[in-house]
Amino acid sequence: MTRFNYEQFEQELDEIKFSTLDKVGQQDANHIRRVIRQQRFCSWGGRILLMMGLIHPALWVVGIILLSIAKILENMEIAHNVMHGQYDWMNDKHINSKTYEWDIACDGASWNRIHNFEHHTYTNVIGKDRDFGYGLLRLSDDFRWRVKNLWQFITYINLSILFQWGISYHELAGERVFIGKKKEDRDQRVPHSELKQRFFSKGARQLIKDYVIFPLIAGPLFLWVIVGNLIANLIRNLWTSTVIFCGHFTEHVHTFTEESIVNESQGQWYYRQALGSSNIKGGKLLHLMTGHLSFQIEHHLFPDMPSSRYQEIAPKVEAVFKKHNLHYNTGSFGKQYLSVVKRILQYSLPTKAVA
Amino acid sequence: MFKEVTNKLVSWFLHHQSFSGYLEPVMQQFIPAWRSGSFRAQVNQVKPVDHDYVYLTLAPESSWAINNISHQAGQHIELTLEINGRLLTRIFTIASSPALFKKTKEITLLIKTNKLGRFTGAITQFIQVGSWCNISKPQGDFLFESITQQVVMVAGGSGITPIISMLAEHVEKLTQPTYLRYIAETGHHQFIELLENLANKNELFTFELVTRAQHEKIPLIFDGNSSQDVYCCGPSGLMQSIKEQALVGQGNYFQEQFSIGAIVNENQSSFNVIFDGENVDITNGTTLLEQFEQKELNVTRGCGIGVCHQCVCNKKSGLVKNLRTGEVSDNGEQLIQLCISQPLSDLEITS
Repeated sequence: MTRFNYEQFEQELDEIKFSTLDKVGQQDANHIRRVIRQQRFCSWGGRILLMMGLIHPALWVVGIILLSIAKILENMEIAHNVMHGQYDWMNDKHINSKTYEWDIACDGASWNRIHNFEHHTYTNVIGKDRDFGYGLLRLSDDFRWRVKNLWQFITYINLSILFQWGISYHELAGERVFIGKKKEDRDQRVPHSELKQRFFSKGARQLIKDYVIFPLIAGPLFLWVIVGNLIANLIRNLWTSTVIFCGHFTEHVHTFTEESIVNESQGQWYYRQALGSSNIKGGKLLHLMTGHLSFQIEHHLFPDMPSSRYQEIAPKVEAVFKKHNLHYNTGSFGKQYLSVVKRILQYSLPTKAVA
Repeated sequence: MFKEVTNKLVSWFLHHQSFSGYLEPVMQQFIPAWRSGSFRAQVNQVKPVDHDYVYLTLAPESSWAINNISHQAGQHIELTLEINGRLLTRIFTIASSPALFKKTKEITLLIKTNKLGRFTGAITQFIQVGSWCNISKPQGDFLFESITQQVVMVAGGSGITPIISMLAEHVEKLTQPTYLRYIAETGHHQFIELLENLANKNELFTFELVTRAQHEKIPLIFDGNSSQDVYCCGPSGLMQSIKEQALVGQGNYFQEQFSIGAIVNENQSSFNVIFDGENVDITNGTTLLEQFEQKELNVTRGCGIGVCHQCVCNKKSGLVKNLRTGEVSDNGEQLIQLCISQPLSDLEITS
């Protein structure tokens, strides 16, 4: 087998990156503002319809759907991408990675550390990227099998149901803030007291908003709104969890060791990103609702390129992969999801190390 | 009080600094360029003239001028344009007079464009008559206070803008000789017709259009007995030399400081800055903003001259010197503008 040509791979991807970033402008600014408007309308419409349950229960159901869409759009297409700095070039006071705080239980600053920094820099490097299995699931042979892995499919379902709280608690779990043995060698970038304070403060405000304030506004329809909000949050959690698992834990996604990334070149970094993610095929609506994480490969190669450009560059990226005989991991939603389920189940059992 | 409470609630539950920030993209659909903390203005005229100058005439929304009082002659505004999706802000002096605003409800800016400039280079391309942009309240204290004094004014290049505004506003009230020397390349002088009109209105006002070579050949002479007030706006080198000459006399000296000159410090010293928990070594040789940018720290660059406050950070402790005012801070916590702050000690700063 011939040696992989990292230099050329790097050059070709850089070419896609720079030629696309050159084009970024009004069209992309319009895109993010349009999505924000759609999000606001869905959110307001949803909240109002949830209080119309007595007129007709169908209105309540539509309200739940609208509110779920609003939450998904905010978390995935707006917040995730804005917090990546994809729209910082706009110089908008409210649409930038420095000030944006998202509408989810997880504190934005914590997310920026764990996700934007750790996960995107050390993607799938075992021991560095705490997103690989979230410390809960065994998804490769890099991890020793434990008895609890037997029922890890159930753990996975629970994680999906409570996904926003999982993300929120993620950094605190890794830092052993509440439970577990403190790791001596870890440098505490943020004091535990601050992690705790921000975790509780953000989480409490999210709970108060959906389960106290809006139900109180609804007056006699208190319960309708509580249940509606609960379902909308559940739908959002399941959807975001599923999309993210499809982007990272399908069967062919590779893992890497810490030694392998010492002195890594940009080309090798691209290579690792390429093998560490998978895409979902679908239409414009699917891409929007996944926050364009259906282009997880493109997102991982160019995390701060506006998401509005991923669809356009995907064919070019795929062509480069093909040229270098690299597997471009993509498939329908169903196929990718089955692949995830298979991987979770496969590593539930102890396996002999086979590649 | 009400506003504070809403903003607090909005930041708790809607995660935006203000309710208007949360609404912005929706409002902009109906009201173009609706932006929290900024005024709207409609572009009434974009007139490019020779030598890369553009006259931009704007009609600000009515709340910009309270009781019909727009600005004071000599003041400037921040102009924000959306250029290909980017909101870019620059500072321009209002070249038209407040008196003219009362009649026309318009202000005019004179903009020297630079083909390579991200902002000025794109003005004629992206700004259409009828479109909307954002402006700030007028700011600045380069004002005319010498109606009963002999006055010498020196303008270099586009430094004519505050001075033309002052003259247009005050020329009829002048009671003492007022002389303007306007330095620019041959043929690059602006507002010639207006200057002639002003000279006709009051014979105490005279002006000369000169080139730099001519200016250097015939220096303005201020001696220890003269009590002329001196006004100067132009490149920093010009202002420095006029200032030195003017201070010999007994009159007052006024200038508009737009560019921050490089800090020359014989005693270079270096300090340690903790910026968002990260340790950085810096010197007192340039501004904090420049050094933070070189170190690729997460800072925001706005106007770069201490006006727009986009680069504001919170100084927890340490001393800095404000380069616009020359003021040295105390050791306590305060907001500072990185672009005009010179470090004088070890610092702790959060973004």
